[in-house]
Amino acid sequence: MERNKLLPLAHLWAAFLCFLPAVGLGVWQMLMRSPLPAPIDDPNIYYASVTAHGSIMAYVFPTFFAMGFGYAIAVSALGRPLHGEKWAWVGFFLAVIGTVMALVPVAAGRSSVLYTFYPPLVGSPWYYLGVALVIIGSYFWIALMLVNFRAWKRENPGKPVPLAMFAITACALLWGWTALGATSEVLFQILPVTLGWRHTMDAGLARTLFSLTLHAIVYFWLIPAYIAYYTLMPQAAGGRLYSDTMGRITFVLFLVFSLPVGLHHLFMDPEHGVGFKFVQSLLTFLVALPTLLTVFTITASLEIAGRVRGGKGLFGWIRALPWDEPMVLAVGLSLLLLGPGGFGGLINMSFAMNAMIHNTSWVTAHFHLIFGGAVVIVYFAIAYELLPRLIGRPLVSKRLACLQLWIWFWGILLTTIPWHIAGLMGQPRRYAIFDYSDPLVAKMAPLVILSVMGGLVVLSSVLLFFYVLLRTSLAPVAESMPPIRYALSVNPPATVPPLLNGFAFWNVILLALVLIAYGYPIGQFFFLHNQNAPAYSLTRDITK
Amino acid sequence: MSPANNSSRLQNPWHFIAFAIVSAIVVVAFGLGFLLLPRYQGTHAPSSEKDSVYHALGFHTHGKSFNTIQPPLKVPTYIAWTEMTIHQAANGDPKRGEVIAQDCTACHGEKGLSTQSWIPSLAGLDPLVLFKQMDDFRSGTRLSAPMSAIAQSLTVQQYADLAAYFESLPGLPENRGERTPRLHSSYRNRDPVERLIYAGDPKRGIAACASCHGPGGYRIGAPALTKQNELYIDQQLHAFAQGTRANDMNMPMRTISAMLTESEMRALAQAYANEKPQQP
Amino acid sequence: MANQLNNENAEGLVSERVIDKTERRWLFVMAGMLGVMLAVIVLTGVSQMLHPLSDVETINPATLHLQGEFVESNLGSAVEPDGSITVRIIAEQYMFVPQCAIVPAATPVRFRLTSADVTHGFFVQSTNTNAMVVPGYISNVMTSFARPGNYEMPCDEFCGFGHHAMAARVLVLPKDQFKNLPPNERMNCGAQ
Repeated sequence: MERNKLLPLAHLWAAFLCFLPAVGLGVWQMLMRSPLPAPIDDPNIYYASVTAHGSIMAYVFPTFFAMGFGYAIAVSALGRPLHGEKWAWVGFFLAVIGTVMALVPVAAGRSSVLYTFYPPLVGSPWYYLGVALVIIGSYFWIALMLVNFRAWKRENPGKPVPLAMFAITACALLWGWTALGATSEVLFQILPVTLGWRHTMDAGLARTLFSLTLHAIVYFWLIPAYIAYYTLMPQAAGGRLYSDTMGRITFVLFLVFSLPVGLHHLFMDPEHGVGFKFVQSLLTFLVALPTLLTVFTITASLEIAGRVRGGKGLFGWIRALPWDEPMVLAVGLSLLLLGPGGFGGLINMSFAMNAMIHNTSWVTAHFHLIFGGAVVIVYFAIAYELLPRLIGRPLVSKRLACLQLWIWFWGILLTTIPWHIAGLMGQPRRYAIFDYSDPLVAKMAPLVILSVMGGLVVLSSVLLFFYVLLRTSLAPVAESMPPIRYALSVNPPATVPPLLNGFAFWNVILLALVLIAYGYPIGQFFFLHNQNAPAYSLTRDITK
Repeated sequence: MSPANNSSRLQNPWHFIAFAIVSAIVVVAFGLGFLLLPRYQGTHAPSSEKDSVYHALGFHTHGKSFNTIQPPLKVPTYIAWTEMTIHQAANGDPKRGEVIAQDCTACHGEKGLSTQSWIPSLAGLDPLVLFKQMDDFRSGTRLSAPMSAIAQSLTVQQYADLAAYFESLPGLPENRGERTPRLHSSYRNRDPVERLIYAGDPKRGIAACASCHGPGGYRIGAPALTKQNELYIDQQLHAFAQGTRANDMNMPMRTISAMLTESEMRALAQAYANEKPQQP
Repeated sequence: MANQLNNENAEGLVSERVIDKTERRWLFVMAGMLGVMLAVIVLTGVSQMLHPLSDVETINPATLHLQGEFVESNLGSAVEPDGSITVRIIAEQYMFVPQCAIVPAATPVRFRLTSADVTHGFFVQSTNTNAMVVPGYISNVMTSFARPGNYEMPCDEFCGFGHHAMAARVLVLPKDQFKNLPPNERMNCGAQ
């Protein structure tokens, strides 16, 4: 069992050790965009920093986190050692090597293409190979989640798979399907031009393939937080999950509807017609549904816990909840952030309304609010639950942990609310420097300064997080640590319909939807003429 | 297995229900997106179903709905950066180029470093830049009496050879998008010329010169300007501004130069001529 | 530890029938809300012609200056026979050409942009005119400006190290001040 603990521990530390410098870079970036003086205000450095920050936050940090959490669930929820642990380590080291391989050229200023790396602007091939290697490492994890999922089902025929394992397996499947988009783009389009084998490529096809990944990846980030909502929070609050069935339906809806919606990132693009833009907009409404369902189920679960603890009256249960439990506090704060964050998302996906905010700071603020805010705050709480059990030492101080979560909450709000407003005022995104002597730009100056302050608050929260974890790691080993327990539902089901206990059918539906929604949009490129564009590198003449 | 299948289909209609719901969603989505929305557009008469689907897919249904009468064509340069052109321009023979270049030293200096401030140094120049300029002299899209005559006496392959030779000489820095991190490269810099070179001026829509001409920028066809001759830079900026030089493909330099003031052009030329080359 | 409570007090606190009913009710309310939002989109899409750009047109980005619609002499504002305006602009690293477009107010305007190199974006601030400019494709955006004025049009997609200084302007003149040129002439307020 000891080695089984080292595996998720290694992943969690890898995730957070990359997270910390990335947050630092983010704070520096916000400072450079602001009217305040920043050390090293070189725009070239800014774009390299955004590339590093984005790549870590999008491809490295959440991947390592999901992998570690998944391995911990597979062992603790299924109550058995992990099948194929050797392969898990292979995947881990591939991802570590890939991370280093990708970040070195970025740090050298040779691949400032940003984490979306929209061609025909290309950077160093090592960057793309590194990102591909991280993804390949994560595929080992996907395979192991499926292997362990099926092994348990074989050993426990007819019994419902524990919800946590069901959900993380859905998450793994989702990632497995969606990563194919960006990976195809990198393998078949970008690497050939950045290695000099080909000189032109279809930028429209590349953006479309990338859009296959760009939306579903956020659900890959989101689902681990939702797993905590459904299976860790009710337990920590002293209650039960309102509905296990609804939990399963939620994760199935995410699996099925996360992929065929990517075109909503391409509403303002010229390479698609309105027909498929609308179809995928409608499907995006459907992927908003599981979040809306979750809000109800989780609030109901909180209410159950509050009433069990003696809360009376319409709102008395809120006061009765154990807000000094990091997991409960994190989920409560996350729900508060999910509201405005989700609202922003509804605006972005509303077809023509997207034109109001496309590529303005509203978009950047939105995903920092919902990912940095609603999701990462729960990642912290998951770390507070898992890490002590993995190292056999109790959390050094729940009070400090809760303080850290509160600071993160206010920091995110202070950072992103002014940022949203600046976007509505027309501030374009991905700008290294702004000319604040322009009166129109000067109006946004106070907003950016507020965001800088928010960034500093966020950074201090991360430092406090590390302090808590490090102190915990240095505390004396406890005699025994109680194992992690996953919440039961109010009425635990003895059996669960096969459709909510397995994914074969849903994979078929998912694939059908992707074919229907993306078949023509991708297929059309093979029949268009004249649209190939030469590749452009920022730093060397690759066209020779 | 059949009895089990039959009973599961009776007892478990959920497969069918899920399939039916998803199908209904798909049908509604396509119906709205392809048949309703594109067909009924405001006060325009509804188009046919076929037109509606074509429009939703992105095809023109009525042909180009704007007129295509164009003003007379004026071509800035006959070079296009196609794969073939780039390959030819970048793969000349420097040894053959050295032989031809013996005729260039009179004006462009020994070893390609010109001592006359209004004649550009060619040492270290990007081969694609030199190739294009020679071709433009030949075709008359760039005007210079001596250079036109010289360009017309050489073949296109010889342009590539010259370009390869001059590239190999030490002189102008290689224009790569890399530079050591610089302080004071934002709009906070009080020196207006440094601001223009490293940050640009968005109020006028002028990009930072360095983002194409270096240090720390790259654009195909844009020469590195560090250590280039001052009067030459100044004259070319004026020529672009007045339109007497018009061989910049898609008009970037004419657009920018027209917005620069006299003193800015002089100051930029001086700053670049005296700029210390970055350590690679 | 909180995680270790058996939470048995919560077992069966609410019957599954009630849970099912409440979840179902919420599902219908949420689906209804999403349906209303969708209906708004469809209705405004039909009545106000509000929709993202649609026509898929390709063009060779390497030869824009040699042939076709985006040669130098054809850039800028062109007056159509029906009185509408077509504005052709090239996006390149790191400027829009022409850098300043002139259009009349309260007139249908069609922006046609393409890129000479990498992906750019154009965004006329204070309006909803916002689109990507992808090399190989022409972005065709139809709009109309209600109010005269000088509108900034920054590039809103990362295109390289000079991205933050890439901006153009749209000068919207009152209708009577706008000169109606013959079809083979083009107008702009930038350098040409």
